[in-house]
Amino acid sequence: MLLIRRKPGESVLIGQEIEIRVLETSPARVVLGIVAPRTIPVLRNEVKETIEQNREAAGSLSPMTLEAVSSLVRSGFGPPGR
Amino acid sequence: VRLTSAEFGEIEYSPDDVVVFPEGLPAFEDEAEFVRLRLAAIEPLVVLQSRRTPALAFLTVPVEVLDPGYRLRAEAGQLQALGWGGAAEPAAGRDVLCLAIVTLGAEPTVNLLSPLVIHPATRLGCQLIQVDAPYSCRHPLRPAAAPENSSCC
Repeated sequence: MLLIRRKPGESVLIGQEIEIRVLETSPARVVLGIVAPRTIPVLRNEVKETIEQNREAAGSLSPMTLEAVSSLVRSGFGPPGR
Repeated sequence: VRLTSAEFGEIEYSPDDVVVFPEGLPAFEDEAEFVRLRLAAIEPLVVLQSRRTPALAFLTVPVEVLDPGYRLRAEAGQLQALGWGGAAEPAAGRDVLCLAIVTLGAEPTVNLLSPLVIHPATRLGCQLIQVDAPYSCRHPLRPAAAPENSSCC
């Protein structure tokens, strides 16, 4: 991973068309301004994770689910603590 | 009313069990209507079965089952589309139904970061992708009663 130190007001360029500007920083968070063509999707990573998690969750069920889950519930959920 | 589910067979349900997600769910934007199935065998887990796609269902668990102190953090306006006019942080399980999606596998996990929030009166729902919340989208599926670290001593 490339690390670049920037101060509020400074920016970095990615390729010809994408600019990421640091607008504001505080101990807990950074406010970024992103300039990019409309064709490039900009997503918070939580959104991408939710999309992936939903797909995986939907794909994790099968006709065996009910039986498997009911034994899971009877055993107090999940495998015994790690 | 009846429907057929690939996972759960023929299902009899009442219109009161239908939940509408006007915007669908991320990755499933065309799926707006789900039937809430409460099956005694898997209580307290809840199944949401798509009305139009027999092969699509989600296994969910009310967040308060895993974490009684769960805090729902909605941003201004996010829950208004559901008809919720109350606090920005409605109480999960009391004000609104708050279901976390389960992913089955060798170690089942739960998405506590983006729960399905359902207004009980309007039966409208959305998947609330929380920002700045200290929750994981891969939380181990274990009830709150199980003491942490109980296995190491």
